[in-house]
Formats: sequence, structure tokens, C-alpha cells
Amino acid sequence: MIEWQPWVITMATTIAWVVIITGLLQIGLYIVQLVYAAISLANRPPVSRSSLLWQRYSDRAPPIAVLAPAFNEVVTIVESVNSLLSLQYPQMEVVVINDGSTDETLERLIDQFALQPVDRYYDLTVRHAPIRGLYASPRIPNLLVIDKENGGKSDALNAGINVARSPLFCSIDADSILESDALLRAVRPFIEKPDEVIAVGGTIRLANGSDIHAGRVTRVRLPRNFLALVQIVEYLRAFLMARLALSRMQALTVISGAFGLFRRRLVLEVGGYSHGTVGEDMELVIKLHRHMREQEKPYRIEFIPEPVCWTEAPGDLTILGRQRARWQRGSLETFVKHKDMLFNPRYGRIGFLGFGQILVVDVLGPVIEVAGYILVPLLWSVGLLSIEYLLAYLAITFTFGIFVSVATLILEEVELRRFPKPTDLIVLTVVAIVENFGYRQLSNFWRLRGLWQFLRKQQGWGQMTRRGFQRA
Amino acid sequence: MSTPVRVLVCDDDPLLLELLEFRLAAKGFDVQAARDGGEAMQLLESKPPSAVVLDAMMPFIDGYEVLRRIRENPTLKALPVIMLTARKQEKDIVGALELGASDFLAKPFIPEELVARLIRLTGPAQ
Amino acid sequence: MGLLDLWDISLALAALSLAIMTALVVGRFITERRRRNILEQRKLLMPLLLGGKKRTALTELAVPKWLLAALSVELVQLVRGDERAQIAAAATDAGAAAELQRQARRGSARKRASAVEALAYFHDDKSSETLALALSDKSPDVRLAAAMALAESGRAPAAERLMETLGLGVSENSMLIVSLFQKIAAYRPAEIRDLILLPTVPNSVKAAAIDALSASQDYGLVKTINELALRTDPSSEDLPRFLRALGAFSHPGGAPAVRHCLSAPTWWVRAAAAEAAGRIGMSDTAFKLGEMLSDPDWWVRFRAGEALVRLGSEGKTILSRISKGKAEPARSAARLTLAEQGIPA
Repeated sequence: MIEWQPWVITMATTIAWVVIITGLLQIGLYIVQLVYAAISLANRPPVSRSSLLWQRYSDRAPPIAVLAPAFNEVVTIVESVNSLLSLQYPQMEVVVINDGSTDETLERLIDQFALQPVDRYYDLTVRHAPIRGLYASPRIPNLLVIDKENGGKSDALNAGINVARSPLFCSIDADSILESDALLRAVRPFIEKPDEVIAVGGTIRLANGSDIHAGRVTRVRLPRNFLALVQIVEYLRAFLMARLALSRMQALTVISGAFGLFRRRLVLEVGGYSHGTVGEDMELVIKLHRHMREQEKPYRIEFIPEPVCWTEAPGDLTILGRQRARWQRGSLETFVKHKDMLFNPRYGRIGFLGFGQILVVDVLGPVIEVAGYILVPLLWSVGLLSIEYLLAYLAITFTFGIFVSVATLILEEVELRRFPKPTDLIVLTVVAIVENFGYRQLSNFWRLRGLWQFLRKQQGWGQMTRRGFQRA
Repeated sequence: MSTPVRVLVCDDDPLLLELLEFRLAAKGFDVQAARDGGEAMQLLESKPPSAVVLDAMMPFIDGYEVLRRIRENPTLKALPVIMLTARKQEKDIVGALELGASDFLAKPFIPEELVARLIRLTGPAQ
Repeated sequence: MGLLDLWDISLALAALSLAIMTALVVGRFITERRRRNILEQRKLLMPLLLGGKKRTALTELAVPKWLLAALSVELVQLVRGDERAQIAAAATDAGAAAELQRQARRGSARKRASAVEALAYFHDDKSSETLALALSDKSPDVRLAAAMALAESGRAPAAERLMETLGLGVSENSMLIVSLFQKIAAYRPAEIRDLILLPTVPNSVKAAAIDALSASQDYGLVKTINELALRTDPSSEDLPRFLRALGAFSHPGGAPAVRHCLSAPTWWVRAAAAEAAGRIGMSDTAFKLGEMLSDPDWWVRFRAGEALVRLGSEGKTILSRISKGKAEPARSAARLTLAEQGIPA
């Protein structure tokens, strides 16, 4: 055994403590979230058949504009639009925004829906690339197509927000697959608390492995691909636990770009989606919080646990890695842009709970955890740390992780039961255990890569090549 | 005895289909059921019925689109179509009739009334 | 607490979660078997509920009561008229109503709300009693559902009492209040009308009552709403609803309030007033509406343009003149409004 200098030992213990305490903070947050999510699920309003929802809400439901951005979607565009037009909702306009596609997306639409150029008086409040033309169909009065110059997803949505006239808009991704009654379900908070609710998010589920027919999920099944399976557990954790709990605390900081319902007027007031960020969906919600807090108006941003939208997750490592790095960059950009809100009493629970969560889970978490992967075992093996430290470290990285994942599955099974077969549950439980060994570490490395990209961009080295919406 | 009148019932609610099948079969109709617009179009083309009861809100191809395709199809053009739908605002009723619906019933509905209206359009069930 | 405890706690929690999950999976396998059984029973139940005649067979059939209740409610909701009454009667005989009453008193708020909602279709005394009791449930969702169920079936308590028990306009501001009032107004319109007249009723509740009655063609209301709108704070969020109702009546009796609100300080009131002016056909506001095409708020400009089109030739002349002018944003507003309506400038 080497005789270490006392200061070296102190340093090693300090490092171990930092790793353990950040880990504990994260786990503490997760456990609190689990409790809140459970309370929220137990108290959620009845989930009714859609025919009953229609009877109850259709007369009161405010008009919604569904904003569907499209960039080079010639293959799927007609099917997607048909599927949107057949959504169950009393008053809805479908606004397709062709974001300067270089393929025949626009021609395809014109052809299929017998579109004709129209004039329409629209708002110019939020900024976006020029609109080249508007098209409508005499046959389908609630369809409008905007043809504009390329500017990316935020830019396309901004154009849609300007042109839409409904008091609410629903933003979706080009590859979002909506449930038929998604709008009817998601609009409920707007009807029940019309004077307070400004935005609503819903659960996004992964369609990998399920049967999809003409833009609808017709049968829920688990994928065979391990990466896709892990992401199913991840999505449950993100939506069923984190977002549901944060919305219960009224500190929800993200509404997924795949499906979100917003009060149009307020989004105009905050200038719409921001340009030049990759986390525009998160940033919009933060801007809304900031705006309402600064105006000192009571408001609510809600989340409904029912699944409203399906999306395809990447099944290969490279694409998934890129996606995760981008997500990380997005949260960091938003965090830094609005850092003055952190622990600022002016922003109340958003500053403390919302931003505190981003700080612990997104900003500090990955860096310290990855440092821990290397340092703690190393320091232990050279005799600088006792076995207690190693075990505590293992508890934080592995066993607590298993607990949180499995507990989310329990919540799902007790409250929602959306997985049809009992064997699905077994598979998911196994995945919830296994993901802690390997996948979790990998995803933290991806996040570090996102941090690196973010730092490079801050230095002005990054280049902006993004044109399409990167469905990955 | 003549062959029973065949009616295609198209709705995405399985319970409503069951109810209609039960009620219409009891009146002597030969009932075919379709769960969505796509299935309805297939059945319409493979063995054309004598009348259609059509929901408006269905996945894939909605009822209005099915109706439009029926009216554009030379062999189906004159087919009696009753819209049976929860969309019952003024513009929905007018819209359906303008598209060529033969009749319009709002949900929740009175099964007796549906039967009476069907018989008015097709003649007695047998 | 030492570091070692952390390890022990984590192990215990992980083991506990896995044990629960195992139990759930086993439970799932068992219910899976039962589910097939239930599907079979459901098939038997359908014709009996619809048949109406063989009620004894229905009582003898040994199906779980919750299944009977659930299926009856789903069926009842599909139909109306005699058919609805028949199915409800058959279901009540077989014990569906009793089951729903039980559910309405026990269980989670979600269960109670669903059961209460379903009891709307059951008119026996016990069901009415359960609903009356549910009006003072601790969950606001259940209370509102009970009020809706009672209103739906002609059993609503006095509107003033509902205001109190539901906290209307105080803690409860749901848009469903409009539906509730509409249901009550179908058989007791005077009660809803009185809400508009009573000075103690909050404006948001008055707005709901007005919305509920605005399809009624009761022109006597126009004068009342007009006065109410003139009295209301011009930045109130309820004012647009009053103006919209005046527009829906299309009656000149609403003109004074609409004219007054065209110059309100808030955009939402100006926009709603412009819309109402068009609907009522107030040609004397044509000039003012033309001015409003320069309003700083897009919605006001849009509504003003729309209203000018509604006013007919006089309005269109103004639009056409402004569209040839130079002043923005009025010029674009006028030009595009005309283009959108397909009217040559």
C-alpha cells in the first residue's frame, strides 16, 4: 500500500462526496417527482370514451389551429394531412407550412387537395422567413397551406402562428402521429380553467414496433430493438414521472415539440419561437413562464398524462447519440439564456423548482456523473477511498436507478395500463434494470458531447447547417 | 320471398356497430359493418349495398370524404346515404346535405327513427 | 446515517420495486384470463339489455355488476328517446343503478365523477338522492358532474343554490358552466335570466348565463345585456362575451354598448365591439370601423375589416377607398380583406 499524503486523501474524499451528493440530489428529486406523479395520476379526471368527451366538450371547445411544418415530406405529406383532417375536433383548421422544401411537397399537396392560391389577411407580429404564397382548397374549407422560404422548424411554426386565426394552436412535428381524440383530450384544461391555462402538453409515446396504418397507431406492441425498448422506459420516466410531477407543482419547463397546445395570443406576446436555438420547444415554455411572472398574472401550464401523440424513436446508436447531444445543447442554451431566473424569487417556483431541476439534472448531473465513473473506482482501487464510498457510489449509479425506472413502470401499470400484454411488462422491467448498466453511461457521454458542442458554439466556432427539422 | 335489403353501417365505435347490427337485423336488414372509411370504400366497391349509414368522424378517411367519393362514383352516385354523427352544428348538417347526404341524424339518436328513415329510402327491408 | 446505509436503502428500494412489479405481472396474468371470460359475458349481456322483454334473464345472468353498469351506461349514451328509457329501465332492474350509486359514494374522485355523470340517465329516487348528495362532494369535479347530471335530467336544484355549492365565478370558472346553464334554461329559462339581473352575481357567471341564452332568441335580453355592457369596466375580460352575445342577437337594441366599446382602451374589447357592429349591421359605425383599420392591434384591424364587409356596399366602399390609400397598416388590412372575400377593390 502506498502512503498517501493527508491532503490527497482529503481531496479524494471531497471528490467522492461531491459525486455522491449530486447523485443523491438527483435521486431525491426523482423520488419527490414519483410521489407527485402518483398523486397527480390518482386525482386525474376520468378518462372517458371519446364519444363521451365529444358530448361533454364539443359545444364549448375553442377553435384550434393545428400547425404542421413540412420540409421535404413528399412521400408522407398526403397521408399526414389526411390523418390530421380526420382528427375529432369540432372547430379546427389544419395549417401545413411548407418550409421551402426542395422536393415536390408543395406540388403534391396542390395536386391532391386541388389547392388554389388565396389571399388572406394575416398578422405580422412574429418574425419569420418570407411567405411566398397561401393555398386553400375549395373542397376542404379547414385546410390551409403556407408556402414559405426555408428557415427551420421554429421559423415555420412562427409563420403558422401569424397566419392562424384560432385562439389556440397545436404545434406538432412532421412525423408526429396523433391519437384521433388528442385535441379533444388536450383542450380540457383550457375549458375547465379558461382564465388561467395558457399551454398544455401531453404524453408522447414511442411508436416503434407498433402497427401503424395511414397515420394512425392501430395496435400497440413493443419493438424488438433494444435501443427502442430502452427509450420506451426513458419516455415513461420523462413524461409519466418528471413532466407530470412538475406540472403538478406548476413548474413544468418543457412541452414537447411533438405535441403542444398553446394560447396563440400569449405566444405572440413573447415573440413566438426563438430562432437559432435547438431547444425552441423548451425555450418557448420558459419564455411564457417569464412573461406571466413578470406581468404578475395568475396562469397555469398543464400536462395531461394520457398519451396523445406517437413518434418514431431512432433505432441506431449514431442517430440517437446525435439527438441526445442536440437535446442537451438545447437545454443548456435555454438555461444560459434565462440564467437570471435561477433561484430568483421574482420567478417563484419556476426559478427554484423548474430551474433547480434543470441545474441538477441537465447542467451539473451529467458532468459530475461521468467524472464519477472514472474517478471513484480509480481512487478506490489505489486505496484513497474506503469501500463505503464505492458502495454509496454504486447505489447512486445503479440501484437507485433501477428503483426509479421500475417505480415508473409500476405507476404506469397501476394507473394507465397501456401495454396490452403481461409479457410486455416483463420485458420492460428487464429493460428498466439493464439500462442502468451501459446505456445510462452512454447517454451521459452523449450529453457531455452536447455540452462540448454548446461550449464550442458559445465560442463562435460552431456552424449552423440546420435546414430541415432533423427528425432523428 | 325477396332477398333482404343490404345496409352498410360505418362507424368507428364498435358498440354502436353492435347496436345497429342488432336493431337492423331484427327489422330484416342484411347488415354489413365497417370500422373506418377505408374499409367502407372497399366494401362499397366489392359488393355495393342498397343504403349506407355513415359516421362523420372516423380514422383514415372520414365520413365526408367517403360521401364525396360515393357521389363522384358513377355506379354509386344514387346510393342512399344517411349521415349519423355527433357533429350536429348547423354548418355540419348543411355541409353534409350539400355534399349529397340523403338524410341526417344526430347522435345520440333514436334507433326507431333511423329504421323508419332507412325504409323511406330503400323500401321495406325484405 | 452512514454511507453504508445508503447502499442498503438503495438495495431495499430496488428490491421492493421489483417485488411490487412481480406481483403486478402475476396479477396481469390472472386478469388476462378473466378478461376473456368478461368479453364472453359482455356478448351475452348486449342482446338482453337491448331486448327489453326478457328482463328476468338479465337478472339471472351472473355477470359482475361493474360490467353491467359500464355497458349499460355506454349503450344508454348512444341513443335517446324511448330506447334510452328502455335500456335504463332494464339496467336498473338488473342492478346497474345501484352499482353506480355505490361507485358514486366510494372510491377515487375519478371513479366518483364517472359514476355521477352516468347517473344522469337513471331517474329513480335512489339515484336522485345520490346525485343530490354528490353536490356536496369534496372534489369540485364531482360536484360539477353532479350538477350537470341533475340538470341534464330535469332535476337541477335552483340556480342560486348551484352558484353557492359549486362556487361559480369564485373557485369554479369552467366553460362547462355555460353547458350547465343551457341545460337548465331548456326547462327553467327564467332562473338563468334572473342571474343576469341580480347585482350580486359575478360578471363571469353573468357572461355564462348570457352565452347559454344567446341562442334563445329572447330579445328581451338585449336591453339588459346592453346596460350591463355599458356598466362593465372596459378592460374586463367578460365584456367581449357580452358584446358577442349582442352580436349574436343582431338586434339594434345592443347598438349603444357596441358603439361605446368601439373606443375601449383594450384590444379585446375593441375587436369584439367591431365584430358585433358588423353583425348588428350598424351602418353608422362604418366611418369609425374604417378608422379602426389603423388600430395598433391586428385582431382589431381584422375584425373591423370583417365588419365593414358585413355592412354591405357602404362598408365595401370605405374598404376600397382605404385600400387605394397610402397609410399603413390600414391599406393592407383593407386590400387583403377585400381580396380574401373575393371582392374587387
